[in-house]
Amino acid sequence: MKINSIIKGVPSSYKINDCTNYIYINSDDILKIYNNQGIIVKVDELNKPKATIISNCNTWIGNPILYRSTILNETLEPIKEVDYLASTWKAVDDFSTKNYIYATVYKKDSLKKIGKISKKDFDIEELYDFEIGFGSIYLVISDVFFISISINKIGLFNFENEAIWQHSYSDLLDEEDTKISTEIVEVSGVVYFLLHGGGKHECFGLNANTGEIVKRISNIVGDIIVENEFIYFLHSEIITIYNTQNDKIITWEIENLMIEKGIERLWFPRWAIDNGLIYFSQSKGADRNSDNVGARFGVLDPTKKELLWHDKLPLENGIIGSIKVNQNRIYLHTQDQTLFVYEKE
Amino acid sequence: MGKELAFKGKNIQLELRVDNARETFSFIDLACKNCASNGKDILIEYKSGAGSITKETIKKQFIERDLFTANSLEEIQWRLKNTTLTKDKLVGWLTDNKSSIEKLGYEKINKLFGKNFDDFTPSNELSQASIDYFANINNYNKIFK
Repeated sequence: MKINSIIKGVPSSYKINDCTNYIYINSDDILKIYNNQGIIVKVDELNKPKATIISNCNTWIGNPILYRSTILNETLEPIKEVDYLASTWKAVDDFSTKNYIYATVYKKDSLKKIGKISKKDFDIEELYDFEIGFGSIYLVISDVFFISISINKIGLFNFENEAIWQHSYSDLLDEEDTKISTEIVEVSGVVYFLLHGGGKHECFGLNANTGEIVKRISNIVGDIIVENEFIYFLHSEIITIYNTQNDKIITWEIENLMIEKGIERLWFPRWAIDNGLIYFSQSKGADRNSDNVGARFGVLDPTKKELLWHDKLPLENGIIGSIKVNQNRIYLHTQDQTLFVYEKE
Repeated sequence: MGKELAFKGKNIQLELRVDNARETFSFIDLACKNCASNGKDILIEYKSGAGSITKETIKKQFIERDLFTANSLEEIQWRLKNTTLTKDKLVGWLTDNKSSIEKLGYEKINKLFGKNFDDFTPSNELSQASIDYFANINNYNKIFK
């Protein structure tokens, strides 16, 4: 891997268009767009524009003064203007189906709503109250159903806000004080998540349509990332990969490998998955104000059970806050708001 | 499956979090392996003495390091001995450091404080949500013990 570009002053809300590797940065009411060589190709300062949603190679540029958005195609040409602002409070994929995005929509003189936005013509086909389900949409399952969670329950609702099924975490795990993982994913009609309570850590798979428990895996910890049929559970010491198609589970204890390679046991890692490879960061020793090493990061191959490559950032940039990977590129966003872009040589 | 992780309090392991040679006013930094209820690590900051926590400490160590590093508030603990930190002092210092909180970004604030903010949420709402959270004494006591 080699450095492609280093961009300073990048807030954590930066976006990447996977089709072009263009980077969209909303900073101090100015929108800056960088091309795949890290060169600024567009600066927009009029009416505090913000790049928000990127889907199917198109990018929504919202203008909050006028409550209007312009949708740009991958060559940055405007292809449509609409009379709404749209954004999502976590990854767009969590709010997307094949044909629609269920985004948070702002229209002039109106409360924020959930808008069912057509990916084809960008029109809003339906508007729903923002506070539906247990308070908000957590994961869209289809154009009929979504998952919502509260502090103690998970449930499936339809967009008419009728509950189809719901479970309390405590009942599922049979422990009084139970919490759910931050990540909830859906693969082939099954909703997967972790429950933690009373020292137990279990992965649950629920049939999305019925809420029936179809899978339980004990002793599972870590951040959850899905790629194709594989669910990765990524923890500082152990990586677990569940193949949802053949029901096989692979575990890989990585602590000793990290120590042998001089990276040390991972503390507060960030993770990304691309093409079956696992990208990680090491936060230990990387705080720009008090440490003396710098953020380390690398790539693991879970098939060969090898560390393929690793490197280190300068200490002055601090801890790596997020890793994004696409098209043989790694994007590392650091504590001092610098974006490092690496690409495969 | 493979190795059993040391989840229970009885089996916790402590080790030095970082080489903290440049830090002069905290006596030790620790992290507790797999100690959070979700099986992840906990950052533990020990502070001792009246001058051990200042506005700058809250900025650099609490906001820019701990809130930046952790993925849930459960992963942060500050153990206090003879400090003068109070909930009201913390709220005041967080207010003084609003811009540092806002730089964490809406995705991090959503994760830590259970919010649904997005690209159009005004920056001051991000910082105010964090400040309001710690203005509740029960929330303050969960981290500052």
